[in-house]
Amino acid sequence: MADDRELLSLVAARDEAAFQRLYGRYADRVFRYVLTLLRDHHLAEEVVQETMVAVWRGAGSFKGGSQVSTWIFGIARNQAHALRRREARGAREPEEPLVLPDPAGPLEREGRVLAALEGLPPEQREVVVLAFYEGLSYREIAELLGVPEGTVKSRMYFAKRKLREELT
Amino acid sequence: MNCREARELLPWLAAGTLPPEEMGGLLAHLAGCPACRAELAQEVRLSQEVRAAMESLPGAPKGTWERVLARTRGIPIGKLELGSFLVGLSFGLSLRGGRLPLSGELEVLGRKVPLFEIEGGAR
Repeated sequence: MADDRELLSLVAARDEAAFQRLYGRYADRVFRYVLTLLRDHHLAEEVVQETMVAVWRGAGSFKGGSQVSTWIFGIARNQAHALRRREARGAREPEEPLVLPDPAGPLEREGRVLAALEGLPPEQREVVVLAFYEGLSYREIAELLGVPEGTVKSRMYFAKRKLREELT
Repeated sequence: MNCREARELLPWLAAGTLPPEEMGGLLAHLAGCPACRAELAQEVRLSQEVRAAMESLPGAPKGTWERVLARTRGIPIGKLELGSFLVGLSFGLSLRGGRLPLSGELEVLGRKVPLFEIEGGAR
């Protein structure tokens, strides 16, 4: 199976099948990550579109200095912040909470975890999602957020302390 | 390594992303520290729960891929195809973001190879 770098170099050569495979790997991950930033399904879909179009157009300029995942999440993050600024000018409120409506049965625990995540300060929630869901290392997260590695570790420390308080 | 330093690294060990150069010192500490081993077990559980919770959120809506594709391909205006079912050349003109990019493809036994794309024809 081709790794992300191989797929991206094929995308740079305008290989649509490789682009679809890369989309398959990242679309849901980007959507859920952006959902935790913007809490709006329509805006999250818009960000997925903008991100993947930017990947298609910018694949040839990827220098390989970072992981492909860090590059893609960086694009998504920039797009999300740009959209947030646009929405703030229009004074639109976030559309929905992260927690699924009326979680029941096997989803009950997931609902509690999502509620606990939502209770975190945004900068702590982002670190937890990037680390535990997206699988980024603290170095990659520091690069993505443009903060020192120590800041990432510190945000994680306080986030997990609060999560554990909420979930026990 | 003391417990404070070890606990700063435990979430990253639990997530499977701890840099290899930090692994040795942490594992040596864990071997002799039951309290940090118990802490690690909690970290692993938390990371699994966060992952499961995130997976329970909906993914990108159906139709997103088609919308992405429409934006990267543009609206086809015309296509010229030459050759046979073995080898062929095609040239396409489309409208994309106010531009008229011209692209060419070589097709050999059903496998398409992009040849060029010219982002010409400004608004």
